[in-house]
Amino acid sequence: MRPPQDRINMISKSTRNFNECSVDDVRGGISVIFDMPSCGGCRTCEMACSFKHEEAFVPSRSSIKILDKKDGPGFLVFLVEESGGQEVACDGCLEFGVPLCIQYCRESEELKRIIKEFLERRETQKTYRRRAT
Amino acid sequence: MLKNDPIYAYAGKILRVNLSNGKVSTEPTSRYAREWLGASGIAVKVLYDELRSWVIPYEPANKLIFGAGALLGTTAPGACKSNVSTLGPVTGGWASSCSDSYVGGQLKYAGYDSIIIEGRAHHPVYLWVHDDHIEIRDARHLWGKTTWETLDLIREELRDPSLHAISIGPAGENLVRGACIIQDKGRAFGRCGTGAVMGAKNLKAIVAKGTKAVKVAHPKQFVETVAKIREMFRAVKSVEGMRKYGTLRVLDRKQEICGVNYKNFQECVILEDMLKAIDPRRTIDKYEIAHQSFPGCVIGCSRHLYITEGPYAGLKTECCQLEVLLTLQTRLAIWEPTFMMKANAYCNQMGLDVDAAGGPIGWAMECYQRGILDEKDTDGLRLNWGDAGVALELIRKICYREGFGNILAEGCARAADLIGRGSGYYAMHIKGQDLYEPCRGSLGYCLGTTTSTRGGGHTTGAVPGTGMAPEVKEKVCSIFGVENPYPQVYEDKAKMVTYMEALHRVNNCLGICHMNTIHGDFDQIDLPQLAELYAVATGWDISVFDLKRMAMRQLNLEKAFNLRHTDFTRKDDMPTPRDMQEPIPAGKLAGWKVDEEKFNQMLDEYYDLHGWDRETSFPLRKTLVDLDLEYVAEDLKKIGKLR
Repeated sequence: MRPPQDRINMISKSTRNFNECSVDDVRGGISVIFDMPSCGGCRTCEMACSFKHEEAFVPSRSSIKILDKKDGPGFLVFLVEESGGQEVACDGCLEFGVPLCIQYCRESEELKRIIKEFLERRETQKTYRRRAT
Repeated sequence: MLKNDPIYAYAGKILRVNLSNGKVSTEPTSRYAREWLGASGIAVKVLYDELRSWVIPYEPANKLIFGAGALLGTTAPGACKSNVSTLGPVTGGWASSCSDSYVGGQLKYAGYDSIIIEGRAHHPVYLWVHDDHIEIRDARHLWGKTTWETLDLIREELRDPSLHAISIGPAGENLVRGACIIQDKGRAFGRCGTGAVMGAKNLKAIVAKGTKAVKVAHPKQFVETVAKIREMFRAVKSVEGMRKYGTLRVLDRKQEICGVNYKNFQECVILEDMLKAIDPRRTIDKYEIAHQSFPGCVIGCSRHLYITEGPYAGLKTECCQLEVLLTLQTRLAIWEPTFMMKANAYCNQMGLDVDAAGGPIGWAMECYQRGILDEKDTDGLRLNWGDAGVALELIRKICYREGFGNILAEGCARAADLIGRGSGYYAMHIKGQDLYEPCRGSLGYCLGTTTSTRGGGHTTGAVPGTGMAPEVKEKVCSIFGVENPYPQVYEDKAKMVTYMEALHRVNNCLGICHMNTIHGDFDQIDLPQLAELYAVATGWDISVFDLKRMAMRQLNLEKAFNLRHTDFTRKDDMPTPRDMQEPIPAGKLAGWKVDEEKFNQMLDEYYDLHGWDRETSFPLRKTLVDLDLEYVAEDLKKIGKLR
């Protein structure tokens, strides 16, 4: 399994509100990375997300992953956009009023913005693909 | 339970690694879980049963056990603590220390609840646990490195920047008696010298990463219970202050109740000018750059600082907690407000318990003040109060056992024994371990500290809330089942300590951070919530009574362990001579000291509640039989320590 840092090294950055980057995951999924300076790195979101998918705590199957940054405050938030290989896509927890990761996050306002941006981006991508076909 | 029954919440296996011959094996956690709960509870059972009475701390026959709390790896509130237990070099007996640790959670995802380290490696090694792949890797290139360098090098070597490790620094390698184990670059398995035992085994670090699942028995109820408990914290008034400043927020309160250690406990308050100068809230507001939280924690009390000015400009480190402020900054009377950050970072890098730094240095500075020590003893250093440079130099000397540092590396109790000259009075220790806790002014805190089986420490029985605000009195009385909870009153304190002994042990076994429980605020998690969480996670019927009984079994086993390996008796459960002879000089409680006669009566009551002999503190046969520990009674009878 290639460590996440290699994936980050492969990306080309596009700047929007956050340092959002799109990565072709080596194992077939597609993921998006956001910078979250207020994240404390507790990774409770990973546990909660994996529980939703598996009814067990297995962060390796989470749609959200928290990655250490080389420098600067906070952590990177890595969200799986399309499932593939081991990766399970984030669906925004449609069955809950509030996504599980946000429910457990201490800095929920910033994570809320990230999830919102991620979901909007995913909708936009779907629309482009529908028009293309 | 039957051998093939699934086990929930736990990972299911205990890993044994023998560093002498490289042999790795596993055994089922179910062998211990039902009776001993987890982490420190499993450790005391294994250590009591498997260590012979002639084993000494630094030899290969000693065992070091790293255990993840039973609820780690789940979203249980505050479930982030792991434990290291062993036969320790500081007291010579039970040694047990907890810390927030990502490694514990990863260990559970790898499939293990505990690791039992046996033997001694031929040369420095580190342990890499990656699911079913267990590797004892060469650490000769890491030996001599600080814990910070060690983590970075391991991440580079194993090509994963998100790896977490627990490691020792030069202090552990040099068998400094109070050496500790550091989680990543901050947080410590601080007390009892577990780092020295790891160093004696040539074990530099343990790294874990797992991709497996931790399951709970009743998933839906578990999530609902967690949500209900998390909701409780919305009404807790202290959470906001904890989020901003951690335990450093209570310095004002400590000053008010004469709970500040100044000049090695000569004073119990500091000058108002000094209080203003070192106000940690101002330091944090000025230098904070990022948050730091641990898995499941509802509060999130830490942060990272970047010191941009002053003598330590350029330092980037995790912020410390109150203990560092009192044991190093105020104890040594240092006015530079960023000193505690520097000292904390340095102790973390070197793998030295902050109390094993502040304790001996405080003793030495007082001896220097009183003319018991002079420059001939101290390698030419002038041990003046308030000299930060000297304090840091002494920490360095301790970690490398250099010159005078070699004496201080033994802790203040043994250093005083080596020096003599009447210096013993100024060595503030309990059972040989340097004391951090101010024992005058709060009797529940004092009793819980002096009777602690691991030698002082306020996290295995001490009653928190060294002040008692009137508005919480009713709540406190209800929690502890007492009528008089006030800290300066001897009545009812034995009962309160007995309750805290159970709560603290249950927290340690489940891996719940004390600061998410009534230890941090009386409106937070208590034994009923812990029982509920544990029950829905494991699927086992468990009540508060069951938890208390399990905790008392552990306490009695720790006691028996101490009786087998040390000569502790009632005299070792007493406060220091200073606390009993010197009244508090100034402040709101000026004139107050521990009354020896009344303390003895309180201690009698404590022993009665535990079913221990008043004269010696030895357990009574009936007590051990009632706890299904008859075999322990037979062991103690053989060595003449049963009543």
